[in-house]
Amino acid sequence: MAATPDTGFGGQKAPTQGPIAIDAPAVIAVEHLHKAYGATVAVDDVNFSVRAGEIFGILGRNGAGKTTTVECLSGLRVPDGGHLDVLGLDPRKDARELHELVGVQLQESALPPKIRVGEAVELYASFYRRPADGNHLLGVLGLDEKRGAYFRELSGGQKQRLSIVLALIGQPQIAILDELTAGLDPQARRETWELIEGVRDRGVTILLVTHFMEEAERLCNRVALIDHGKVIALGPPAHLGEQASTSKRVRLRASDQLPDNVLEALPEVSAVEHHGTDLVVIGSGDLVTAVVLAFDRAGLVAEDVRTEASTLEDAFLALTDAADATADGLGR
Amino acid sequence: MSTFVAAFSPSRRRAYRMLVLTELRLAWRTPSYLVVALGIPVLLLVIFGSIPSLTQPKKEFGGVSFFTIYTPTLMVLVLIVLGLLSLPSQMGSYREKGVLHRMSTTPVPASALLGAQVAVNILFAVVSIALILGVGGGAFNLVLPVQFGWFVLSLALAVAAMFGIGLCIAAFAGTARVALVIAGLLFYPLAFFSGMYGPLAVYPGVVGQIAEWAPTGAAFNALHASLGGHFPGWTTVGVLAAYAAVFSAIAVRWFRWDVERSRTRSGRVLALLTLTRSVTLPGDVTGEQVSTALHDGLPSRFEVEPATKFKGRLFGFGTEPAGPDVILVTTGTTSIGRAQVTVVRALGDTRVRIRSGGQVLYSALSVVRKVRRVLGDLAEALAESQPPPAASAKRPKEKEHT
Repeated sequence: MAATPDTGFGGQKAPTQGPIAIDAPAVIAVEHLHKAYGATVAVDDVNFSVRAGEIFGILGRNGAGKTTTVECLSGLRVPDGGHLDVLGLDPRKDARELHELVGVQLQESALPPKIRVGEAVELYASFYRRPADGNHLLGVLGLDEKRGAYFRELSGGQKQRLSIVLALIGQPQIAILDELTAGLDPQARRETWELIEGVRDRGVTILLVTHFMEEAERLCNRVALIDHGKVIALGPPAHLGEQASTSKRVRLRASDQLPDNVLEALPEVSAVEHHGTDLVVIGSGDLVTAVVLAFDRAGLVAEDVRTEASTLEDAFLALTDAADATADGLGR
Repeated sequence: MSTFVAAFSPSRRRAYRMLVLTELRLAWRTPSYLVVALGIPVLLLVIFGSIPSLTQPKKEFGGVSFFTIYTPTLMVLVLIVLGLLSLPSQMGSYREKGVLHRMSTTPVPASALLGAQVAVNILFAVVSIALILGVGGGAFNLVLPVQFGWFVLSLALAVAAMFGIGLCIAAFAGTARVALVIAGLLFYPLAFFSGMYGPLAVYPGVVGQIAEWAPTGAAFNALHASLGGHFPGWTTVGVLAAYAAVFSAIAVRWFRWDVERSRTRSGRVLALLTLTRSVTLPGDVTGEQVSTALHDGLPSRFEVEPATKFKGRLFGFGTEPAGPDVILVTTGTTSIGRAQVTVVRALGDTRVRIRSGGQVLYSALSVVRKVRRVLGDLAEALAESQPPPAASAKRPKEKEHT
């Protein structure tokens, strides 16, 4: 871990770095959460738990029920059914106490256009029993020079960073961040990711809602894929990638062309694709060995052999497609 | 009980203080607000005070001058503008923009923010009324044998009544726009009974009697009497106190800051207040054609703006790539009634949507009715000129009466 400056983020001292212990206590537990708006079911049956110190991602398409889930967890909406537990509190009944311990950054929220950045931080600091040092937080998030600027004068990225400052101003144990990087340019997004990791390293558990696969892969210890109001997969991003695809892809460059039918004749191979000078062989089993041996038998050399890991994005598409297919099968 | 105690704990008090300070700053940074809250009442006072004939005592005003009798009217107007127009629209915009939403994730409830808004508006009202008294007394020799105790009581009751009505509007309206529509409907009658269009003393008996029972009329009477050194009378005080109690109670009972509930309710109110009617024209009709037809067909007191391509958000559904044509129809110079005419071509037909606007309901409705009639004629003319498809029912020409 690169030396992080003393950020003074909230939470406990002990930085939890590296993998999260499996037996870390659950700080959020969601059981059979259900929420409907009139006839529209936003969240059907969602179950997951978040362990202390991890970055937990909630992934899903627009309208999958992600925001409703975190709004229920934040005590903003009343669930129609199910059980929620956040740090031993019921988000609905103990909302005040919960808000002391959980910092929330929501999508559809804003500040008055003519409030100055410094004033907003000071105002929000006054809401909490043990506020963090606002000026210090502004410095950490690179908003030092914007302290005197009106909220409406900030760029999208600056507004998001201010939003993170406000979510952390109460020194929360958990930060819920909804679509944090939506609308940011790639550079700003990457910077935000580093900030999130910095927050986590200070011992704050993070619940991150996103629809960016890359973001989830990069940041999250575990993710829950939500579709049609249900969790359709849960686990570390890498595992989900493997879980989703049984097929493997081997990409290579050959010194000379081997006829496709030779490769296709192999039991391990299901398809052969040409991408420019690259050859991509798709199949299962011990695919690399089979392909390399086939080239060897033909007296050719396979160069630059790479196996392509299937990404979380593949997993996401495969899983949501499967969910759609099931839904269609049920006559929806 | 514990929340009640927590609400007044020292840390909470700090939060409330910061909220009020922030709202004060925001109000101070809104020039239009300052002009309306402080500038206009004093300006009117200065204008009336500078016209000699208005400062002469008149028998019909009960032996005082127009200037003297208009002073309490200005005070009531300050309360109407701040309590009825400004407060609900501020609250609506906080709700719309997600400011309340953001705040409801903190330990301090969003209602504290609304409380701060009420406090700041009341503070500005008191400052404005003090300015009226100060400027009137200092610059224009407005000598008022003020009954101080009764004046303070009358003012407090008037504030409670007006802000109570304002909070009821805010409770119903989810957005600033709806709040302004409702407040706009109430503004004219309330302003009338406060004597804005002339002292009620000059109106014949019945109007004066109604005014006694109207919230602003009672407020005027109470302030006028106490400023003149009299006891306002139990009826007036009682009426004002009743309005204050009833509206404050309704506001407290019904007010919901959360987004979820208020949206559906405001949708219903909006549907009630802004009328939308559609007319289908056969074939492809351009915005210019509709605009020309409206220009020729409507009486000359209506202004018809040429059709423009709609840019930006349409009824909150995002930007439409091929923006429809929009024509604005207004009633001449006053623009008191307005209609927005949207022309959308789809599936071989042209759909024209007429949406009412403006400040006064009945004139807005009459604009919609007239536009609709002209478009109905246009539809018939077009249907006749076109080769009628098979069984195109040629409607018998309806003679509509005005």
